[in-house]
Amino acid sequence: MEEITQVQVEVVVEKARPMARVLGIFQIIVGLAGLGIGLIILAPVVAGFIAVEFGLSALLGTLVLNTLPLALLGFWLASIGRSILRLDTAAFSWVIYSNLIYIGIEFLVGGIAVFLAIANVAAIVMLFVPSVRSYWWVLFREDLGPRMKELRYSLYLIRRSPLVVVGLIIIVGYVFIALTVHMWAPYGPTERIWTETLAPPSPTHIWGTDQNGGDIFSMVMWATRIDLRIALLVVSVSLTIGALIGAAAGYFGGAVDEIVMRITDVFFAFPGLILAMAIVAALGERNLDNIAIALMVVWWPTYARLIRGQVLIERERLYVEAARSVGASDFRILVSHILPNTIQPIIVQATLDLGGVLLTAAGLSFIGFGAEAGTAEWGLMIATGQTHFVFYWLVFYPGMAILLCALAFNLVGDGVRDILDPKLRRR
Amino acid sequence: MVASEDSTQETHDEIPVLEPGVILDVRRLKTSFYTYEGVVKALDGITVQLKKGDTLAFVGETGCGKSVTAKSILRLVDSPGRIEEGEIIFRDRAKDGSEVVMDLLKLSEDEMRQIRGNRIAIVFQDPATYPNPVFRVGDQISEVITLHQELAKDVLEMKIERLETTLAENPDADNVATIQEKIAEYRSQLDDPPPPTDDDKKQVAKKKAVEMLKMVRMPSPEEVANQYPHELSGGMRQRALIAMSLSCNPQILICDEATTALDVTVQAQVLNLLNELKSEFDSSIIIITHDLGVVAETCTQVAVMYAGVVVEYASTEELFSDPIHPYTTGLLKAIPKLTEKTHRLLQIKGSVPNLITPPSGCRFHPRCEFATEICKKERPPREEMKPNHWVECFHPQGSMKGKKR
Repeated sequence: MEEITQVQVEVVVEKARPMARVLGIFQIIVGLAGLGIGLIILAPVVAGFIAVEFGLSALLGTLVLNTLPLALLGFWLASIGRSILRLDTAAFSWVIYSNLIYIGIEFLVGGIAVFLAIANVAAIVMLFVPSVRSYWWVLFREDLGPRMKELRYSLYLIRRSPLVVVGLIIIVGYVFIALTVHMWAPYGPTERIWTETLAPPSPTHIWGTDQNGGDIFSMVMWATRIDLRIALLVVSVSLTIGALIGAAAGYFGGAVDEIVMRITDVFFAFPGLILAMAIVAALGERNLDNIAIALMVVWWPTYARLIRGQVLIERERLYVEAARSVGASDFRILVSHILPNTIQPIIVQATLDLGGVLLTAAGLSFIGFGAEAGTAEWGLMIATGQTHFVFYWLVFYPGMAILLCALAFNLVGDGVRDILDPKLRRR
Repeated sequence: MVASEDSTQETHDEIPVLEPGVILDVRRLKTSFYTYEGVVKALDGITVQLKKGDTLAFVGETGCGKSVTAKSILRLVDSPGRIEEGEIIFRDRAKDGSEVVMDLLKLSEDEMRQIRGNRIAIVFQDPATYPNPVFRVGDQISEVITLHQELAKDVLEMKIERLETTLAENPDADNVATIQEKIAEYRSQLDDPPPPTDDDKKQVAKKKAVEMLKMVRMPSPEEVANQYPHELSGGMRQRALIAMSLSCNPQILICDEATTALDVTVQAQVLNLLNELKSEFDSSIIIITHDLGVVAETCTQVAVMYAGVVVEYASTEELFSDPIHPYTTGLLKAIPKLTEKTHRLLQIKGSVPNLITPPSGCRFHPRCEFATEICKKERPPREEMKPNHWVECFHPQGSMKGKKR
């Protein structure tokens, strides 16, 4: 690596300024465009919600769940662009992360939003234009150096365990399918060919068709999107809620702890699946968002307990006392000192739970508490297929899809534990 | 900072009186722990003064309350512990040079946070576990700096310095005029600096962190700042912790057995370093140790503690040449001497009493060879037996032997 001193960087800055300005303005435009698209899609939904009904399911409609992040993170992108105009060094590296995350969201939303991805890629490319790159790259590398060292070691550990590699490849495959299925799936998720019901696998329908003439291959592929989304949504939301509540309970102890833990006891008193069924039934409507809500309600106590336990351990560590002795506030100690130290078991648990949630969601669909009839969803497909058990392809392919996905998450979760645990990591 | 100090002064009706030259005055401090077995009276009326520029040592056996004293001064005593009564008067130097005298025990938690790390800092023993394992050393130091300092002026100075070096290295660049304009603009703002952005602040803090590491004689400070605590050796970690404690230029640095976990050579280096830094930063140091060698080498004042009581308080020279309290004389007799050959070292009989039910009267009487009836009944008063030599005892030894009762 060529050594560039601060002074040289400063010289380069003067030259890089015009190009960085272009990048900043471009980033603002991209962000605002995302914000605009998000709002355009969002507005009718919100208006409809206000005008027509006051049900929870309308607010949590698929569009809102997807476009709300699009709008919010669009604002984030724009603010990064503004920081770049002020030549804030840290903002440059954020361009990469934020745009990559944004591309993921755009693919989830689909439609016109996907075109924005081109602009996102362009922003990242502009970051590496020589004059701009020379500005942030040195400081970025210096800052990232030790982290990259650890990351490289982690990658080495991953490469060494074949099961994790297999799991990762499967997950990447699923994610790829979920993001791109609309481009190559031969049939739509609800498309039915009424003339060819229960057709066995053949060149036209490689995995056969179901009793209504739905193409099994297409439906299984489309279902990837729905099932992965539920798993991600449930785990991330319940993790966030559980983490906040559990951390507060563990850190402050006393009455707060007692109340929170008794509430989690109430949730643990019921079998998870039964409780989720009851919640779906209480929410009234049978749809995917209600499954998601039900599973979140069932799942958060697990995380709350896990994190409370971790915080209880970390709270007694001496570095907490050291932080207190230099005048850090409770909030700062909890958020920026204790939580980073508790994150490792949480990541493992979350990875394993992705598989668990997937199975439970499919299970709920199977017993009739999930998606509306006709939705391309693995559990539902198996449920409808079991009445025609002679036609094995109705059940076999979605079943394999669930099996593989859950297996992959468990493999990776187990591997992640080995990689993140400092005792097993061993240099 | 200044504003908050003003408000403290207003909220406390009477401003405590403090003798000139004294920076910290601990008066009749009592701290107890409310445990299941009973109330542990860890500190029972400690009175100690720290003068500006002095190094004060707390010496004593394990469990005699040295660390509790340090934590009480910073009000870091955790439940079930509680500071019962007493005063901790601290003379703070405000930004404009004026002096503010306050009672630390009467401050609010927010005001106390401004004191911790900023005005009074502490270095703990056991450097292996004190740094946060998931953050880089430099980041931890700069966190303290950003937490307590505004850095507005430093940010401007950094910008000016950078631009000036740029100019000096490229005298014939095409944008010299704009750079000079910028420098002039920054110069004019120096007296009333604008609030810096977080990013600028971070950069300055990081630079300062490296400077601090350099100050504590850390080898290759730039590299160390980017390393994680587990990559450093014990001595280096201890230095990093000292750098963290000193980063806000505190007026008092408390070293809670800061050198106990280190080997002898590193210990000597760290002690020397502390004394050098003391004069460099114009601060005072409190050292907590049970090593009388450390005391003799580095400290100017000594407070000998026994079972939660300061039994003797004098200057180091005075204490070593003329120990008055029987406990101190016993301690000094127990030190092996190079010039004498003894079969067995002298020792003080018995062990430290249980502080839940401390001995009545003088806490040392069950182990004291001079104890009489009065020692069992009454606690001896704190008396200035010689000038600046305070002792709590009915039966003084040394030069005062037989002069009382």
